[in-house]
Amino acid sequence: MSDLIVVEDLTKRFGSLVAVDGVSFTIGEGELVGFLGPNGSGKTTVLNMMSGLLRPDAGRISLSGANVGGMTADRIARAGMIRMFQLTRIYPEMTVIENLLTAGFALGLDKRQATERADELLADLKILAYREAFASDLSGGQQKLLEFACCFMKAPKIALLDEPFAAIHPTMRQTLADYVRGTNAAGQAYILVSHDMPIVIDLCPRAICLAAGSVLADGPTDEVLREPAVIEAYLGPNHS
Amino acid sequence: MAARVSSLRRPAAPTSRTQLAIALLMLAALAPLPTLGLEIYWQGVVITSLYYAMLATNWNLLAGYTGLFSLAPAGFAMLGAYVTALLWTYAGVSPLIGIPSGAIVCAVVGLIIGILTLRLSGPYLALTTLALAEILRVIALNSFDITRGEIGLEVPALFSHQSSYYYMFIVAVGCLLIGLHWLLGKPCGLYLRAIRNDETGARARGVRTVFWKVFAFTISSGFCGLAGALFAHYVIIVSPSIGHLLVTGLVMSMVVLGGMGTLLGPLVGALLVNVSSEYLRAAGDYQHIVFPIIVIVFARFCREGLVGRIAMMFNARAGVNAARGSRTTEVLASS
Repeated sequence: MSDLIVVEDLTKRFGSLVAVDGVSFTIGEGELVGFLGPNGSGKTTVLNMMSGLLRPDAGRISLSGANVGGMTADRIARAGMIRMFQLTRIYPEMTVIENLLTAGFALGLDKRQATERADELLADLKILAYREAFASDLSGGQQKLLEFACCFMKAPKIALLDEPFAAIHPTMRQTLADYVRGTNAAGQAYILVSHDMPIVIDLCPRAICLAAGSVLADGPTDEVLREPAVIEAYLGPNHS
Repeated sequence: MAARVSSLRRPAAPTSRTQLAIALLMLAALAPLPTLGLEIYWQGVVITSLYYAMLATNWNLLAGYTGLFSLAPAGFAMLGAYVTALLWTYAGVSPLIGIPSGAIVCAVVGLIIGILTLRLSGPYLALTTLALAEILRVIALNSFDITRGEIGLEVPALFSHQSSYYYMFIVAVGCLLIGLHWLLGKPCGLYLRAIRNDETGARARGVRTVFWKVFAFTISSGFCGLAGALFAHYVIIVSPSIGHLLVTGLVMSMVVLGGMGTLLGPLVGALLVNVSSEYLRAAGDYQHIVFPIIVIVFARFCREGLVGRIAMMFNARAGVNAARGSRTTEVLASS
């Protein structure tokens, strides 16, 4: 498996706080990797740097061999690394279909391609009935599905999903998990940040665990979750 | 499965053909008034209203559609007016060249300001445009040898009859609205609205946010310059008062009252504010507190403005699904 993403010695400081401290890892083509760690461990900061929303203080990020470290977020998205946010970022005053078309046009699709793809995604994610609804009218879970759909208007090289399963109805969670599983089987690469361990265990063959801005463990998910250091990072040093 | 619908606060369609049709009908209704005996004075009031409508429409492109807060629509109008005036005064250049030159100079200045400020987030555009508008006005005021300060520069009239200006501004506003409707129906329109809704989300999904913000600012600045240059040859005197910050405030209040982010709102707001202010003249200085109070009331209780509120009522009454269908069809049909 060739390397799709190579992250080397990534570092980010906010004043005196070192949020990410020399993080390195690689992601192969078609891999689905769980990104674990307690709150404040640096997961979202790493994702922000990978997607161009934060500039790293040091380190290198490459996508398919090209350095994307200094690129703007929109260029990185068009290069094939797309991002879904923990707190949903949709366009509330636009309709569902307009949300999707905006993403499709920005990623280079024409009107026919974008419309067909949008309808296909809405059907796959079981929200086609809401096609003409304003995004602000959707429930929180449906808004997550919409943002997720926007990420796949043009199949990315890798999708960075930050807590996609948080605070959504179990039925929608299953829909989302099925979509991730199916597309991953077809070769779609993912980084999946989640605190939902059953889902991570179910979906991700490999996991990377961060703690205090550093990589604590990297390997098969079940092994990572058995690591004493990982258990300690989640539960504290005095757990029984 | 039926979509959950909230019909209480359904916004007006930003690219509505209905709004464009109503706007064009309003302009068409205004057109025969001079031949039906509209007094010269009131023709002037309508001309000034249409000039403000041009500025308001361009400010609406920024604030209403893109979420950019500029304080320089009047400043750019003044710049456009001075370009044609200076070209005429010092080089004898015809207004037919001077007017488009005013628009081009403003577009170039807008492009430069946009490139410098629109990469930054926060209030930098508002601060920069405020500074620009005041700097331009103070330069015009104090460069007496060139601009004749407050006395102003005389420019030639384009027409011998006031009614010709009347028709010229009707055509100009109509063309501006048609152009804006066309632009907003393109993917560009979606990008601008996406930037207003969530700029970070738009960037993360591939929208070139800086490019499109600069684009909107350049277009808006250019057309404000065009409006100013056209207005200059109507009033035949170009002075720094064209660019006064109070004019920008007036333009903003027109957009807020008419309906921000709607195609029709700025035209309605400009006619409403300018025509009614003529009637309020009898109230003397009290008229200056009437509009700020109305703006505060609208900002508090009717943020969508008159057109937005009427559209919401219409959408609720006409049936939300039908409104939704026509709305999206319009976006797709025109893209």
